[in-house]
Amino acid sequence: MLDKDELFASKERGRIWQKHCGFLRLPLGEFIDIQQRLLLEQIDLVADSPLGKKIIGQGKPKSVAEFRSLIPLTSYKDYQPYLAEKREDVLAEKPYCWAHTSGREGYFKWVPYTLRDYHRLIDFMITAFILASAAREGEVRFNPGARVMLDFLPRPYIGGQIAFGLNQRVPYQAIPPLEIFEMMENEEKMEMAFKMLLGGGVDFIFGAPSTLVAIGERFTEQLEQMEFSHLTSYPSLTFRLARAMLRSKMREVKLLPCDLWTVKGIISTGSDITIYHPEISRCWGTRPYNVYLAAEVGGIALPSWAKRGMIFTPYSAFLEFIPEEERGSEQPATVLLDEVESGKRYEIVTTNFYGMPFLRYRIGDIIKVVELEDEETNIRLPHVVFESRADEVIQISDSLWLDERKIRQAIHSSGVECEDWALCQEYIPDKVVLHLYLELKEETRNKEQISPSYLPVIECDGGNLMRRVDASPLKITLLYPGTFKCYYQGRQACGFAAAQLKPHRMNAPQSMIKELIRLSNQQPTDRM
Amino acid sequence: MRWLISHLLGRVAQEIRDWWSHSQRREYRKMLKRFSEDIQSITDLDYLASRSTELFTLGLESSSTCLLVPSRSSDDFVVLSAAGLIPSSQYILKSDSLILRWLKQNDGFLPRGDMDIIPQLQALSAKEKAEITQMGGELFIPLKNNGSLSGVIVLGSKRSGWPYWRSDYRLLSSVCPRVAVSLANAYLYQEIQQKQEQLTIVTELSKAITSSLDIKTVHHTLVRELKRLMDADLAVIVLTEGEGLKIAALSREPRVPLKLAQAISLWEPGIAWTRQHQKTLVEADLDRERKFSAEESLLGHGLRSVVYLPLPSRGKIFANFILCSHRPYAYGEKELSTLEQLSSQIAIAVENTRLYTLEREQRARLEALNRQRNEFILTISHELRTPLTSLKVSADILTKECGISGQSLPAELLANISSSAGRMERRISELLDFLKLQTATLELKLESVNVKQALQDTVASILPLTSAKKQAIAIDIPEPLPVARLDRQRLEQIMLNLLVNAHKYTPSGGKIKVSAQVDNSNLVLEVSDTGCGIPPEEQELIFTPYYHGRQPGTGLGIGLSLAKSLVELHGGKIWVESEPGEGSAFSFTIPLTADREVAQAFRSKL
Repeated sequence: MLDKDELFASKERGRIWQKHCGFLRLPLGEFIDIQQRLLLEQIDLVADSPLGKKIIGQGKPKSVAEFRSLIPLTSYKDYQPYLAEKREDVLAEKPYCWAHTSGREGYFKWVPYTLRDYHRLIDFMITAFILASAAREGEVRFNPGARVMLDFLPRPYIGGQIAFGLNQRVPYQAIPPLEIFEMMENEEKMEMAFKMLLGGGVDFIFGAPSTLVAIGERFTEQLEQMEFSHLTSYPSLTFRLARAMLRSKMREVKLLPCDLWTVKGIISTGSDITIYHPEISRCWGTRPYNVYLAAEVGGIALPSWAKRGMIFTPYSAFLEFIPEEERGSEQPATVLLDEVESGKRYEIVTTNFYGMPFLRYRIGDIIKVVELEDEETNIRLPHVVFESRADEVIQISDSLWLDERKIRQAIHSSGVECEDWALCQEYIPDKVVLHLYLELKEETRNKEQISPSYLPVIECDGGNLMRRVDASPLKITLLYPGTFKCYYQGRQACGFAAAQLKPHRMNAPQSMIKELIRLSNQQPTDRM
Repeated sequence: MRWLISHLLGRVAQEIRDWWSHSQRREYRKMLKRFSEDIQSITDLDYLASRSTELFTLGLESSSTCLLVPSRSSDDFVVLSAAGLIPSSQYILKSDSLILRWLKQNDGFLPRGDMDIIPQLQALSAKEKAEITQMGGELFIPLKNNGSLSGVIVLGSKRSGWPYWRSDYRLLSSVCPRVAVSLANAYLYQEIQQKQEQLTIVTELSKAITSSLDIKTVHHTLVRELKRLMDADLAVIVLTEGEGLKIAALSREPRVPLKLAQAISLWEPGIAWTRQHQKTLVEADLDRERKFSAEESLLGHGLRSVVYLPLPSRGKIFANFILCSHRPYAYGEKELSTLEQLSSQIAIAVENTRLYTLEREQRARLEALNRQRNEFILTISHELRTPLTSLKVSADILTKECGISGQSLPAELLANISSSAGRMERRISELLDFLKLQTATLELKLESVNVKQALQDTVASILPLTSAKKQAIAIDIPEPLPVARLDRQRLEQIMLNLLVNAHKYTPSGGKIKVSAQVDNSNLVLEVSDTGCGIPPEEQELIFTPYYHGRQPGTGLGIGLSLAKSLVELHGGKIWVESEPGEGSAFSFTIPLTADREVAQAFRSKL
């Protein structure tokens, strides 16, 4: 059980800000120093544990430089034999709780959280809530008793662990209540949430971007169904609801959630936030505040009150960065935060603190440094944005690469209404081609519209993909409408959890492609 | 809001209750304030520290107060004084501690609760937090003087259980700066005292080691004085002799066993290290880390820190100075800097005494050899002279007897015997005179001498030789010579020597000239010849003993050397001018009045 954060009880805003957001004012040198101290403590904590010995070896590094030169980069495969079975005997410290990732690779990555690290994760989320709702430095609008609408997967998913931990530290009013949240289906949750919002309003929303969009759309639909006769049922909202309904009718626009509720902050976490944030903003009237966290690491980075780029927190993990040009090596060299350059991309490598097991761990994420300092806020730390998952990038050449965002943009620019898609590289004699499997929305199933020549150039560093690669680099296969839905249903029937249903759109595995083709071939398919 | 009001009311009630029931506390607070005003004249650091912590504890009603100050041997802050209930007074604020760094960089107090709030301190390790909890630290107060941290006061929690209130902070704000200044002053005073003491000891040490050239005395003085200077338990000098080591001297506290100090195997690894790395080795705390397993026995006898100070001379380490102390971290930067300053002096002193001793031994050996040689020559001369005298006398008697009795014994034979014996006698006399000069035992018999007569007599004695070679010999004395006070015999000896050489090196029919004159108060005499001359490169060498020059094997080679010594004994000088093929001119001066003191001075130079 985590202790309540006494500062919130005392309502000392200045100290609350200093504790949770003070790191934004750290000079880069002190940031690095904090990281190095915590790393040395971490080495002391884990070096003698069986798992630590397996990764570090017999000798214990005595310095950061020695650590970086002796320990190779690791991936989950190095820990899987022990953590998949939740073996506590190999760990440095008995875990306080276990959490796991979304499972989109097809299996869960189990992560043991020590009490200190769990504490730190929750503190990170408190920081997120404060900064999400702050318009200027020092403003604290997150208080105990805040109404927080939740939408994430239950424990032991990391989202669920966060929700419960946060409630222990800063008790809030969960919508729906935490006690019943984990037992409800999605539909039930949305139903209850809608009613609770109508009854009492909401201060914060916390969930995954795609589901936030779904909730927004669902609420919009439900609001559309409301009549003036419902006004008396929700006395706290009467005036606002009446005004919104009138306006909606007069302007012939949909009634949106933002017309009724002023949300202080929408906190989400996910690599697809950029895709969904216009929709979320439109729905809720507030730009979502995206935090960068990973189950294996905890909280990694988050935007300041100015909401421009994300800033790393020094307390969660020791950060190293693999420059783009090193990524092809077996054991690439890394740089530290004080060595990154503006405009460049890096793959993140993290080493846990506080006795957690992951050392020099490649999460598989790529970030881009947008600026080294922010003149306006005077924050002297590098600002980054999340670019993509490392395994969701197709490298065409040294300077040419594709990620999900670029493909999505290309499809959107072509004007086709796409239901879903998957892309993979295929090898035919003497050539590598990109094969796009595309399911159109029913109404746009027109062959001419989707010829490769109509598919617009994919802007890659100012170049034209068609010119850079051999002729006909892109092959398109249209899938019959409903293919993806069948695919998801099939996976659900096999017992995959919700998050695991989400396909690998980029570098889609062959098994998935085969299944999609099989399902599509149940009906005639147009092939180009 | 409600919470705030109730909290404030509670505090006020507590303050009133405290104020009402603890009138003593008011008194203590007044005492603390007064103390801080009078404190600036206190130079006794220990009194200052103990009184401060006592009054802080009483005046602020804290469960404990610790005063931490910079350690002597490192940049860590250690407990100087503590009052109240302290679980551990061994608390150390390490130099790289985040807390210390924060206190140095920021003004203001540091409550323990803020360590979870201040971003830089959120990285405090669990171990550090546990240490603070163990020592009961609740409030850290920096003592700053001119911006630099001279100490830290750590207050434990208040006995009432309440946090420190504004009145406490006000009191601390007014008192602590004065305490900081006084602490800095007391330290300065102490440092000056220590420096003076160090200077005295260094001066004494320098005097001691330079006052004696006896190597054993120097070694023992060094170990004794340095042990005292560095407040060590053991000081040892280990000399490197070839491949081995030798303990030259040691000084120890009674608790350090002699056997331990004398164990060479104990010091070998450290000495080898200094030789390899060519620098001082410091083992700050053997309890935490030991470079060599042999040092476990030091730890076993309570010795915690060791310094191996190499003493170099001409690029080689010829000795090591080793200091041990029961205190950990006893030898910090300041101590090492003093030692390294002294090491060059020590090295020079030790090396000098060593070289002096070597030189003295060599000199003694040489003198002994010299003495042996001289005694040998003396003995030989006496052994030869006695039978020689008897031989000569017998030959003379025989010659006379033959003349009287008319017996015809070969006169030539007898003459040969006589002249050979005479020659041998002269050689032996020369050798004895030379020896006497070498041993500075030859005395001049000064008397008034008619120089002209002496010269004429000398020339007459050599006439038989010169006539045999048909050499013309002349005396040239243009004006009357004054009577001179000198040793007539030695004058004749010098002249004879030069004339014999002139005769030897002038061919038949050649000319030899003797001239004399007075120049100022000096007699200037010259023997010149028309002989073969002396090459320039030999002109200086001919006056050196045993030099034979052009005709080796003839004579002992000491004639000219003897002549030179005799001239210089009189206070004169001798020289030669010569051209090969044209002859030579040997000249010398003698003061008209030779002085015994001059002779004495000459002898003392030999």
